This record gives sequence, structure tokens and C-alpha cells, in this order.
Amino acid sequence: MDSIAEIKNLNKTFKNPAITAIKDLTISLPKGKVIGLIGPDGAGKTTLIRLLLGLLVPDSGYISVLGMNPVNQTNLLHQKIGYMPQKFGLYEDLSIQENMNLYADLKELSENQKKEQFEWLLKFTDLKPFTSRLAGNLSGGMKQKLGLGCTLLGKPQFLLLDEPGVGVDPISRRELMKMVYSLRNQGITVLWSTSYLDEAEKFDNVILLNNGKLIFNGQPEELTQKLEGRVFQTSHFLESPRSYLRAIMKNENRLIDATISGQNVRIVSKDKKLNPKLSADFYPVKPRFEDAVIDILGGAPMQFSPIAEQVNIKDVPDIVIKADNLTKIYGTFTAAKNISFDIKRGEIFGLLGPNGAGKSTTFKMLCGLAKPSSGKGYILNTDMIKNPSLARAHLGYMAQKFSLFSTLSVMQNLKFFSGIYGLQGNKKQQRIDQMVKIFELSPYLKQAAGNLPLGFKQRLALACATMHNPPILFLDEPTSGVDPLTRREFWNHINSMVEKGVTVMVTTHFMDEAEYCDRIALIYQGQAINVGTPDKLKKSGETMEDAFIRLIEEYNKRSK
Amino acid sequence: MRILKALIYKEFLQIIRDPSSVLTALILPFILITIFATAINLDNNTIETGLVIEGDRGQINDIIASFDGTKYVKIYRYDNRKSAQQALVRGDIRALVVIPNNFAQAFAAKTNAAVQIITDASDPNIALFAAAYVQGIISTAQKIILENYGYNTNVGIRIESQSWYNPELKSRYFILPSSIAIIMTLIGILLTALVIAREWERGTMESLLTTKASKLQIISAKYIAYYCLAIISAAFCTFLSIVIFDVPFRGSYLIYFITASLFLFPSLGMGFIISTLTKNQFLSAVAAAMFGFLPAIMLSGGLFEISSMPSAIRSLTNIIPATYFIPIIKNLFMAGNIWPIIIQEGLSLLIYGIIMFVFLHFVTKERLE
Amino acid sequence: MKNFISVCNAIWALIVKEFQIIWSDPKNRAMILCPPVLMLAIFAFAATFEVNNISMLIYDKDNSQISRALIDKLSNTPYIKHIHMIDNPAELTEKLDNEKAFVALTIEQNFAKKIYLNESPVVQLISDGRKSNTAQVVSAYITNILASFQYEIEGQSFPEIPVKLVTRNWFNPELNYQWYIVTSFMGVLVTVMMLAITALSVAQEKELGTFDQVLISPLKPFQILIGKTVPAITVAYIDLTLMIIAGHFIFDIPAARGYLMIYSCIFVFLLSIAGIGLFISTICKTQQQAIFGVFFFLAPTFLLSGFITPIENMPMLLQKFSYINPLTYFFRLVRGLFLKNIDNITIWANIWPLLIIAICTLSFASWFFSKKIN
Repeated sequence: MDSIAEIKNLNKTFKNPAITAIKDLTISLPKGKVIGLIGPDGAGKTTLIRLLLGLLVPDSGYISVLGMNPVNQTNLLHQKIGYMPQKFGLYEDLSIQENMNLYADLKELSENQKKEQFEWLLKFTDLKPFTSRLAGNLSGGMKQKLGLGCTLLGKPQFLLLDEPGVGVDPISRRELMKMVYSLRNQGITVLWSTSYLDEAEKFDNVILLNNGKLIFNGQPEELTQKLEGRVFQTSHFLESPRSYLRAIMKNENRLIDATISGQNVRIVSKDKKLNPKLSADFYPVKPRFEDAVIDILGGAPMQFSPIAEQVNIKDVPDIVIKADNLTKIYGTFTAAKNISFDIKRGEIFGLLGPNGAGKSTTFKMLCGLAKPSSGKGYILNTDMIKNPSLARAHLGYMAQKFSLFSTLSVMQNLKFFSGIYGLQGNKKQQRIDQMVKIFELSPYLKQAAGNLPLGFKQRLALACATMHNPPILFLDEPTSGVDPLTRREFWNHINSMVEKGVTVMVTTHFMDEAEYCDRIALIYQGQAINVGTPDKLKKSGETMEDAFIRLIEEYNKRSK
Repeated sequence: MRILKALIYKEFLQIIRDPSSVLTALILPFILITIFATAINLDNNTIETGLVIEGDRGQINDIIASFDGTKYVKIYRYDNRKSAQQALVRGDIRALVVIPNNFAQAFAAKTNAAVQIITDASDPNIALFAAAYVQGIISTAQKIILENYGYNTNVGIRIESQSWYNPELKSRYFILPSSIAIIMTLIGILLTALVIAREWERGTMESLLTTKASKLQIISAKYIAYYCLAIISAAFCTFLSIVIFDVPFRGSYLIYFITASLFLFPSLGMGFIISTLTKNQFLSAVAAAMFGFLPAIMLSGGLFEISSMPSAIRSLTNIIPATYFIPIIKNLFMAGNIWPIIIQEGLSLLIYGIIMFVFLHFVTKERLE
Repeated sequence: MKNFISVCNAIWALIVKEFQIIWSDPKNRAMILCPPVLMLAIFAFAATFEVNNISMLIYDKDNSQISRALIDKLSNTPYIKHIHMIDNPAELTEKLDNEKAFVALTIEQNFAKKIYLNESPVVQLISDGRKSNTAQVVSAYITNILASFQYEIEGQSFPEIPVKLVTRNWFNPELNYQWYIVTSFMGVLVTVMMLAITALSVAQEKELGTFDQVLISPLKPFQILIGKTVPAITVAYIDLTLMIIAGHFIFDIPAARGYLMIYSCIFVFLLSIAGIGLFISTICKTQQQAIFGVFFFLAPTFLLSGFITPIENMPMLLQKFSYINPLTYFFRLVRGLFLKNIDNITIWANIWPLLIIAICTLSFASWFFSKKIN
């Protein structure tokens, strides 16, 4: 089989902070395929892409892309490949057309080529009606398409996409996938790095890296097959799914993964035998690629978080958060319209919806970062508008991209967040010590938060948000761009806290995470079009993602 | 060439879309040139001076009268020395003239009669002016008195004093051209100081580097786009100076355009280098003020004479691009095309600009490390 | 009471954090510590209205003993550095045009003869008006030299001078120009530093998303404001102390009202600058806009502060601007406190306007924060 790139004994290290990004990597990328590049954070995915592009110079080893050496023949190579970096590489203050013109000129397309390719691309990406809109005003999904469009100019033979799905809703990701496959059918090779494993499942080939080393290279099915007969759905247990999850984590040592899926728990076993100790119905289900990746990476963390021991929630009413006809109008644009729901004590409440649908606005109104144009939000029966300070003392907030002070050390961040929530003296020190222990931060205490591996950033952000033992947690895309193992660990912490009575409001683009929620509000076009349990939203046999897309399509039909 | 054109066009679009940079390029110069034209002058100023006559006015009316008749000194009368001195400490007056108790007698007796002047030397420049003005007033008064006594005071060397290029010695005529250079330094650094850092921050540099565009083209496009913005800003300043503030322009506009372009070459380069090296906006801001704006005012020779500075500082002034441009622009406004100066300083600017460009090219990375 | 302590703790956490952010980067540290003192020293030595090192042309048409004596006397004066003899008017024009010389003196042909005949000989003095200030000073110098030269050659006892002028320069007896620059630039440099810190800090946190984190904490807007103000003022005091030490040891500047008074009065000035910086910060979305904002404030404020041209010589309209210019009050205060030993009434007269500026800008910023939260 023809290969598009050959890599032999490749090594790459960084100084400051000292990291071995790629270690003795030998691999051949097949031509004409969609190749997924996956692996935990810090596995070396971005580094590998940059090495292939000649943006980084390897320490040692051999790389050849399309028969060229990326370091010496950079310019020649760049004419034949397309690259979309993590933030899409678009100029936000330029319109769609202007971005496309720029990249067409940079690739020296002739006027005819330009015309022909623009026409094709605008049709291909469905961006035609918006050509004069500024890239900065596009939704995540549209930016992603435009990024891809610009990359495709000049008809590259090899396309490299670095995490194109981060922060983008499932509908847009599905469309992108479709587009990429139609490109492959035209003979273009695609290398796609991602942390969404449901995406990776559909790739022709995947490369799994861990700590700079190659773990697996082949078709995803090869890996998934190994799990046949080891994955089960359990149901009809007496406890709540969360208690049941804790119980099996504690009592069952043959599991490598267990996750909540609506009212059920999905488990992956080390082998085909399953311990009869489990007092529930269970039946085998089809393994997913994610199960296989977790398996090959040594299994998910299977202990419930010790953070539960520290949680102590008192005097919390039954209805913890209440949205009462929340409406937000920016100029002539209605970002949120009459949104109402109650969140009960100890509930995980998910806000789902496409980019730009109004879920961030709703989220911000409830935690007090935006003032509703009309309607009211209550936290613990306190009106968010009348007494914001009081209400805010009871919530923990974890922002998108973790929003830590990146130049401060881990310890300095911990001290700061404990400080602004009024902790002091021994209590403060005690709390910090606990957090360091629970989240295993001790090796990193002196390191700047900005240089932490993504997983540790997430841990630190959660530690900072829960420092003052809040009864309510607001999590805004807390797992965006994070690998599955780290996400499991994160949800272990959240589940532990919820069991002790903490109430959580979360936004996410991971559909499997939506299933962890007790209830979900689906926000679309500024309205809560559906509110209910995950099982209620899904029709039988549907995945959450299918349900998401179906509900939105149904709504679109109705409103027409 | 086509790539360069596309990149330049892109920079232009970005400039137009960002109102704050257009505002900075046009409104800030307008404010500053107005201030330089109206508020800043180094001419003889009116100095607020206190006058205390302690004794009896007697025969000294002539002297007192001459204080009232001068435009350089504005007289405030005080009854006694103490209140006048308090006013001096408070800063109400800048100098104080005391005609002491025994003055009239001493004057009548033709012994040395002394007038005292006390200056507020916390501003030494004004103190010097005040002393000189009062000296002048006393000399004039004395001359009148001597003539009254019948002396011939007109003997002696006659000095025909004249001033070329600026016969009325209006300081505005040289401050405004210099201020254009100072303002351009500020605008050049401000506009460019964040431009390259921004490109890295938003990840667009990574995209550019994987196209056919070379480092040289990326840098050049930025130079050209911001050069155009800055030269428009300079033309605007020049227009205001000539049309609104009435400063004569005696040189050639073509030469002006060429030399101003040469001046922007190193100035913009400096901004781009700050942007590339600091990457931290706090550092860029402080660097722009400490190493850009303030030295342009203090060290460029625009306000303070370079030849009067100690030699160590004089060599430091060579780092500032405005130092080379100010002699050119001043001459173009006041004297005309003075070729030796234009060629010498113009060449310096060119060489300086090339050094900056090469340095920028050197510090701009083509790969990510 | 317990509540109060916990609020204090929270504010303290803000202050410590702000400090750590400023201080954690070695480049920031270097930028805070070095340039202010360095630039202070450079500017102190550089900026002078004194005129030195003048190059002079002399066209001596007379070439007599007396004219040579005059040239001799001119060449012995301290501020004239070079004297070029020329012998034709074309050279004179050429040299002046090209700025090879600053001033030209033409001695007429019968100079000596006329002096003997007790007629008035004429010397022509041409100065370069491109530097009008220097031209005035140089003309005055040379006129004085000629006058005293005349007494010497004539040996004539001029009528004894009936009025003698006794000059005393208070507060700075040696007319040390550096005292003026150093006291002024303390304020200018510290303003640059504080504006950069305060104006950029909120904008930066907005960009990074950490500002939301702070807003969502139980802290009230004015408490957040204290957390931003205190670190900036502390950094300013560090810089000021370095500059005051330099002022004392390098430039021998006295501290007439004592350092305690100086430090306390400066606090109000720093508060007003912090207020302005935070005001800029709240109205800007990005750091770039904040930087533009800083210069929109800094450049006019500096030029109109009275440092270059005394305020009373500015047009009325611009004089009014000085009422809201913190630098103007600062200059009066520091010169008063360091050099003049001003009384408390005068101090107060310059303190209360600064207080008002501080109160207005800080309350605006605080109002803006609270608006942002709700």
C-alpha cells in the first residue's frame, strides 16, 4: 500500500518545561485514508503534526511527507498539503470571503482556479449565504467549516487537522465528518487529531499515541473487536445509578470502566467473565472504540473520589436553582427567551445545545455573570439580582478553558481561590492540604498553572472551584478537549460530590457526558425546547447524539 | 509578489476593522499637535513677579514705573516682605523683587543702592529668565536715570542682531516640526507594538507559515501596511501644522515625503521588535513609553539641545530614530532643502532602518520551538 | 467581626495574587525595577535648557589688534566651544545653512578705527532661528561679552552703577537643573508604571477569563477594586523609593519637609493615578485598547503638566485642563516638599484636587464592576 508519510525512529524533546514529546516513533501513514490521531493529553499529537509540517525540527530520526523532507523542502511541501491549526487559523476581523481570498492568494491560485474552487467550497461548506460575515461572528461550527474550506484551497493531497472538534457541537462535528469523507473519496489523505473517540471510531485508521510512543496503529474495529463480550449494560438495580456505580467500583475488581448511562450503568470487564456479585440485570452490549482505547491504556480510574468525605452540605432547600422565565436580549437579538426550570438538590443538570443557541447566556444569568433582561434566577431561594454577593458565596464555578492564573504556581492558585472565598488560618491550610491530596497535585505545587498538563489543569480548576465546599457547582464545558481517562476521573469527583448532596449545573458537547446528567435542558434558538431525563429524550436504540440531532430537526420542522 | 499583495490587503482590512488603531493614528496626533502648537513654547514668557517696596518711594518712581511697563513681567504688589515670601513659597509668584528700606537714601547718596531679586529656583529655567528680565528692567531704568543726570549712554559697540530662518524667533516654528517627529515615533510604536504578538496568540501565524508566504513577505506586508497608516497620520500632522497653525514650509514636499518614509522605516521596525520580543502586553506598554515616547521628547533634540548634553548621553541619543529626522524636518520647514543634512541624516535613517529590518527578520521565528 | 476578618482575608488574597502575577515573570521584575531609575538618570543629565558647546563663525573684516582681542575673549568663554574663522559671506551662509555653526559674528572693516575715533562701530550677529530658544540665549551671552569687552578696551570708568541687583535663588541656590528634572520625572515615570499595571490588569483578566472567576466570588466591587489598587500603589512606592534614593545620593536633592510627609502626600497622587488606570481598564475590552487608552491619557497629561512650558503661559482653555491634571498637582507638591518646605495649607491646596480625582475615577470603576456583575 502506498504511504503518504514515512516516519522512522523519530525523537523530539522540548526544554522548559522539559518534555519528551515524541519517542522513537516509527510509522507509515497510508495514502487515501482518513487517519485518526488519538491519545491522552500530552501524548504528542500536536507535536507530531507540527513535525510533519516542518514547523518543528526533529531531534533525530527520519520524516518524509509526500516524498519530501519537511525541514529542507518546507515550501515545496506546503504547496501540497493543507493544515488547520487548533484555533482554525482564521482572521476574526476578516469576512468569510476575505479569509478565503487571502488563503487563495497565499497559495497562488489563478483567477479561474479561484473562481472554480470558491464555488465548490462555498457549496461544500454551506457557507454561501454568509460570505460577507466576519469570521469572528461565526459560530464554532461555521468557523470550523471555514477553516476547513481555507485549508482545502489549492487542492492539497494531504490534509492535517489539529483537534477541529474542540468546543464544537455534535451537529457540526457530524457535518465535518461527512465533508472529510467526501474528500477522502476524491483521493485526499486526512490526518485528524481528536479527543472525541466516538469520532475516531469512524476513521479508516487510527494512530494511538501515549507519552510520545506508538501504542496502536490500525483500523479501529481491530481494537474494538477485542472487547467483544466484555461490555455490559446493567439495569434494574435498587439504588440510584450513582450509588450503584460506587458500589460496583468498590466491590468489583474485574472492571476497567463503568459509566452512568441514563438510568443504567455501562460496564467494561477485564475478561468475558463477570462477577455474580452484581445484584442487577445485565446484558452484553456492543463495545465502542472508546472502551477499547481505555482498555489498551490500562483502564479507567476505578475508585470513587475521596473528595466526598470532605463534602458537608447543610440547610439546602429542595429546589436549589430556579430559572423563572429568564430572558436576555442583546440589542435586537434575543439570546435567551423565557427559560424556566428547577434544579433539585443533589441533581446533575445538563445544558445541551448547538453553539450559539443560548446555553452560555442561560448559564451566565444563573451564576450572576449576566443580568437577565426579564425573568428571575434564584440560587438557594436568594434572588440573584437582589443579593448577588450572598448567592455567589454558595457556588463554585469552573469556567471554560479552566481560567486559571497561568503564570501563578499551583499553590499560589490554591491559596488565591481559598482566600477570595474567605477561608483563613488553619482552616485554609487544612483545606488546601486536602485538595492537594485528593487531586494528587503535590508533585506540581511549584509549577506554573499554564505549564501543567491539561488533565492537571482540570484537576486544579476543580480544586479551586470546590475549595470553599460549595453546595452548588457551575461547570462550563469542564471537559472540553480532554481525553477520556481524564474525563472519567473528573466525573468520579463530580459523582462523589453529588452523592453527598452537591447540585451541579453543567454544559458539555460530549454526548456520553450528557448521559451522566439526571436531567437535561436542550437549548436551541434561545429556548429550552426539551427538558427531561436522558432516557426520556432518547428513543429506544438511539444514542444521545442521535437524540440530540433528531430533537433539533423536529423542532426545525415544527417551527417551519 | 501576489502573496505580498494579498498579505498587505489583509493587514489593511484588519486595520480598517479595528477602529481603535484608526483612532490612534488620527485622533491622537490631532490632540498632540494641537497641544504642541498652542501650549508648548520656549519663548520668553510672562513671569509672575512680586514687588515689595519697603521704604518711601521718593526718587525711585522711575524704577518702579519701568516695572509696570514690561510685558515679560507681570507685577503683583505686596505690602511687606513676609507676605510676599509666603506667596513665593506657595508658588503664587515665580520671583520677588524687593526694593529695600534704605534704597532711596542710598540712591540719593549715589552709594551702592541694591535691589534684591529672589527667584523660585525650584524651576531653574524660569528663575534664570526672571533674573534676566529684572536685570533688563533695572538696566533700562538706570539708563533713563543716567540720562537724566546728563551722561551719554549711547557710546559703544553697536550690535546688529538678527536671526536667520526664523526672524521673529517663534519657538513654535521649530517645536511643531520636531513634534511631528515625536508624534510619529509614538504612533509608530503604539500601532505596531502588539501586531506580531497578536498573530501568534490567535494561531494565525501557524497557518501563514504553512502557506507559501515566507517570513520576509509576512514582515514586509506588515511594514508596508503600517507604513501607509503612519504616513497618512504624518501627512495629517503636517497639514495641521501648515494650514491651521501657520508654520512656514520652505523645502520640497517630495523630499519631505521621502525622508519621512525613511524615518518610519526604523521607527516601525522598533515597534515590531518590541512586539516580537516582549509578547507580554504589560512589557510592550511600558517599553513603548519608557523607550519610545519619553526619549523621543527628551533626547531627540526636539526640545532639548543635544549639543548641550554630556557626551555619554549624546551618544545615547543616536539610538533614537527621531534624532536623525528632526534636523531634516526642521530644515524643510524653516530653511529649505539643506542637502548635506538631508543626505547625511537620511542615509543614517536608511542604514538604521535596514539594521532594524534585518534584526526583526532574525528574531522572527519561522518554526515553533 | 468574623465576617469583616474574612472579607479582609479575601481582599488580601486578591492583593497577593496580583503581586504574584506582576512579580512572577523575571522580565516584568526587570521592567519594574530598572527602567525607571535608569531613565530618570539619563533624562536628568540630558535635559537642560542651558546652552553649551556652541560653534561660532567669525568673519573678521577688520583683522586688527582690537578685533583679535575680541575674538580671543570670545574664545575664552565657557559655552562657546568652537570658533571658525571665515573670510567670505558665502561661507557664512553655507555653514549656517548646514548647521555647521550656530551663530556668526561679522566684525566691520573699520572696527578698531571707529573705536579710537569714539564712534560706534558695528558688529553683526546672526543666530540660527531654527532653535529660537538657544538663539535668544546666545545673543544675550554675546551681547554681554561685547559690553564688558568695551569697558576693558576703553579703560574708561563708566559712570558708577547706581543700582545694583542682588540675585538670590531660593530653594535651589545653584540653579541645579537636575533637581527640576528628577523631581518631575519621578511623577512621570511612576505614572507610566502604574497606568500600565492598572489599566492592563483588568483587560488581561477579561481576555483570560479569570475576571469572571473573581466577579463570581462573594467579593463586592469595591473590594475587588482595593485588590487591584493596593499592589499597583506598592509597586509605585518601590519605584519611587529607588528614584528617591537616586535623587538623594546622586543628585543631592534635599527633602525639606521630611520623607514621612513626602511619602504620605504621594499616596494621594498614586491613588488618583490608580483610579485613572482602572477607569481606563474598565472601559476597554482588550489589552490593546487599554494601551491606546493609557497613551491617550499619558501624552497630553505630560505635555500640559507645566513641565516644559509653565501653565500660566498656556492658552486659557488649556490652563483649565490643569485643574484635572494630577501631574500638575504632583509637580507642585514634590517641588514644594523636596525643595521649598511648603506649609500644610499649601500642601492641602494640592492634595484635595487629587483626592477628588481619585474618588471620581475609583467610584466610576467600582460602579462599572457592579454593573458588569449584574
